[in-house]
Amino acid sequence: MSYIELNNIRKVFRKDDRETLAIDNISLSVDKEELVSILGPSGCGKTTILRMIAGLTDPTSGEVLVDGETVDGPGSDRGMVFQDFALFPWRSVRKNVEFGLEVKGISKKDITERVDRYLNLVGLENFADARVHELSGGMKQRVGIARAMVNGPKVVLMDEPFGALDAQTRNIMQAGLIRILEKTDQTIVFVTHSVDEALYLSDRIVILTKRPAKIKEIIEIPWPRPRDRASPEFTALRKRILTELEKENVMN
Amino acid sequence: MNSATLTAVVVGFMVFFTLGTAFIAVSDTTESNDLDINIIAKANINGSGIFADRPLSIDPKSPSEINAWGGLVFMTPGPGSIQHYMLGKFVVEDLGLKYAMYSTGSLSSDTVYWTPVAPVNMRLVYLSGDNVSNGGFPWEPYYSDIILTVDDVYAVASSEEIEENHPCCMVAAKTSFLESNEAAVLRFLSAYMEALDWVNNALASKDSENPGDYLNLLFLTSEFSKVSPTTLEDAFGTLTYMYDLVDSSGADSLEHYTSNLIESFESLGIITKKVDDPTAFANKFINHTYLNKILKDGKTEVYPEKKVKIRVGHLGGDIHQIGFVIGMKLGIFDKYGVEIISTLYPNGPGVMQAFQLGIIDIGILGLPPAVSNTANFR
Amino acid sequence: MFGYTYDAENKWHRFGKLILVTAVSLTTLVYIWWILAIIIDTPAVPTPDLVWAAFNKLFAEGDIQTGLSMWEHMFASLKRFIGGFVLAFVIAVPLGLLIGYSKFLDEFTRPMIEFLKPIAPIAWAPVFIFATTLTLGPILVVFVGIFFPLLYNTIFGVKKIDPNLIDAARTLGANNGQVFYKVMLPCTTPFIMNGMRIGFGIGWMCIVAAEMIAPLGGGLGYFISLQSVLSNWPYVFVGLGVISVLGILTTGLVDYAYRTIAKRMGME
Repeated sequence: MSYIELNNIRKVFRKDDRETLAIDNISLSVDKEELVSILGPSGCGKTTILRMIAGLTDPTSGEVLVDGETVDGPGSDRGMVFQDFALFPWRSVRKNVEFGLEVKGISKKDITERVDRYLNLVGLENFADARVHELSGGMKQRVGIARAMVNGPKVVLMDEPFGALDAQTRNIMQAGLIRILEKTDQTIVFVTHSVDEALYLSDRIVILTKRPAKIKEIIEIPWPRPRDRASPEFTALRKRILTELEKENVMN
Repeated sequence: MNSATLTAVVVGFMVFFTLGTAFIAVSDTTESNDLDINIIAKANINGSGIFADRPLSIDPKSPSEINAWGGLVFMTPGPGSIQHYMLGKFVVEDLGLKYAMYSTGSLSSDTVYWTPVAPVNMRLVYLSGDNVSNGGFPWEPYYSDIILTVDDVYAVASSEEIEENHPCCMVAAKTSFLESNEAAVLRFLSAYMEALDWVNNALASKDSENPGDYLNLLFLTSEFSKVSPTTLEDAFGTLTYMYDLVDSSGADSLEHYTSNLIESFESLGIITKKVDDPTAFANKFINHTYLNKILKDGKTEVYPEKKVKIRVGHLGGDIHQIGFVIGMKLGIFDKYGVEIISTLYPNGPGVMQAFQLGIIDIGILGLPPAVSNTANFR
Repeated sequence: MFGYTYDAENKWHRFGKLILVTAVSLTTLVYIWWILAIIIDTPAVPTPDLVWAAFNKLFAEGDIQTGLSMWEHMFASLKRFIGGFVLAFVIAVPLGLLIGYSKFLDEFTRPMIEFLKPIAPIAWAPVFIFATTLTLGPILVVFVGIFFPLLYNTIFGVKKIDPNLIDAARTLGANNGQVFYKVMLPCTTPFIMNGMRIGFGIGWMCIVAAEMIAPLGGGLGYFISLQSVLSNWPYVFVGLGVISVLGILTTGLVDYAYRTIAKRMGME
């Protein structure tokens, strides 16, 4: 049974009295403990889909279901990781990770225990009391991931989480994410514009058309993780997806 | 910054400080003792009054009548005004109480408090919700205005009842102007005296068969002061217009009054530059020369062909100085060949500052600010 | 030079340089003042030695015209200043947060604010003083002086909040109230502090103007106006100096707080 369900989603944006159809009738389902990547040309509405699952944006028509319940507004059962980290600069690393538990009113002792566990998971146990602006980009996003996961959400929505990082850090972060998944079996919807990243991480890749976005193709990746980026089947599939995406390039 | 620039900067500062010190050391900063201002005529005597929210006696016969004053707060025009000075003198010498500025906190029954408020605002402040003042000591026409228009207010005393024929407003002139423009000063004074005579005659005609001048005076004064003729009729009762520097009524001479004022002001800290010889200061400050010349030789010719321009500063709305205003309104100054360029100031210190700025030649203001500012501004 | 090398990374060297530059700067100011006073040659610009003598006399004997010590004058002004500031703070900050948060309130209040803002706070002095009381009036004048910069900066601060931070808080389960307290308020704090920093400078100008009209129980503004009315110019200069020092102290305090907070938030 599908865990997250998008049924006939349409999204129309209005700006200055002009209507733009951004998402045109998308239906998609994601299974529990699955990592699904959404890939598409920039500006096609990938982030909008993620925000609709989070409850930060309402679909114009259609509905989003998570674990059988219709999404109506944001909630802590759907954690989100942002491209620009969106960490609270006035809080320390620990305090950032604590935020979700704190607003839930969980006791101090339980908070400390859980936060320690997740700081360990992302390898920041020695930076618990550091201030956000003292961290590197990769460390900042590890805080963002821990903060989203500490609540024990049904799904973690990742909006180009490694997009602001340099290539080397990005690879390290991807490997780190896989290690985390081995321990947590977390359901993840992952938005990216990097084919390489999608191939490296995903169970399935959803390729969108250019705006208005429709589902162009869904590709299953059966290989076990961690994957070898240099293997012939990896490079072949990457080449095929890149060719598909090239056709959707808005410049054409 | 490299070493050469740093050296240049350090040397530059050294040179600046050395030259500066030398300049300061050789410059003559000893003050001149020349007076800036002289008094050349009076404008009026008396003409203020104390009001309060309760009946009070200024001639207390019993301790309870004295105690009634204790702990009360009065508005005065502020240190350096004749009203402030008179109230303080009365409180300390006649009542035997202390005289102190009101500040928030408990009030002591052995003290009468003052708080500075411009007379034009006293009515408003008295009626506002503060409850900080029990009364005030404004000049006319505000004294009569408050007595007539505010409910439950008591006329405690006119200033004349506190100190008979006390000096009030004066005609002052810039010393340098007097010395180089004698003819103009004489013309000004001639016209001024004629105007004051007209005012006094008009006031005397009040109960006569033909009070036309009196009504005209009421009208012109009301127009200038924006105070109703009814109020003015009362206000005129507490005032005496007088240009003569010598008071024939037997009151203290103006010189003696002035030298006493200087000594008091020094002990009150209002005059901060020591006046070595108050009597000599007062004798020099009160200048009878011009008035006496006219009294002896008569007024200057009227209708001279050539007009002189004189810049005069006086107080807005103040009826103490109405003689000067009447002189302008009735064209008496024109008649004597004087073109008046008049400027209004809110208070005596304002007039003194105009003197100091050199933008007026003659000013009409109270004696105390004229004395204190002249003494301090040497 | 002098066998000494300045090391910009040494805290003591930096401190020494700061002291030296400040001392030379102030000495230069005194020299310029002294020389100008001699050249201008009017009692209204007294030389520093006269002002120094007046300073010593005033702080030793107090201001004998009013019977108040200089400390009492300072305290009277400070009381009004703090009263006006507290009033401005408790009104401007919540109002600014609300206006910044609500698009409707922003559009509704903008014409009012834009209309009232250009009016110099000092111009309100007579209105407030005679419309209320001598006690409340001056406080209200200071209030207006601090209110608008504080309000403006608070609104601006709310608008500058990164919307992602609010989204992040909401996906972490925060309700509207928690978003307000735990995200909007801390995000706006540096801007509120900046508004205070600007407001404090204006507040001191207002207090002087207000006390010239409503000098109930003394105050530095009244002291200055009284002394200038009596032509006691060295005393006037002492009053100006005291206000300057109080201004530096209060503004310095909020400046320090602002920089501490900004640093913690990594705004530098």
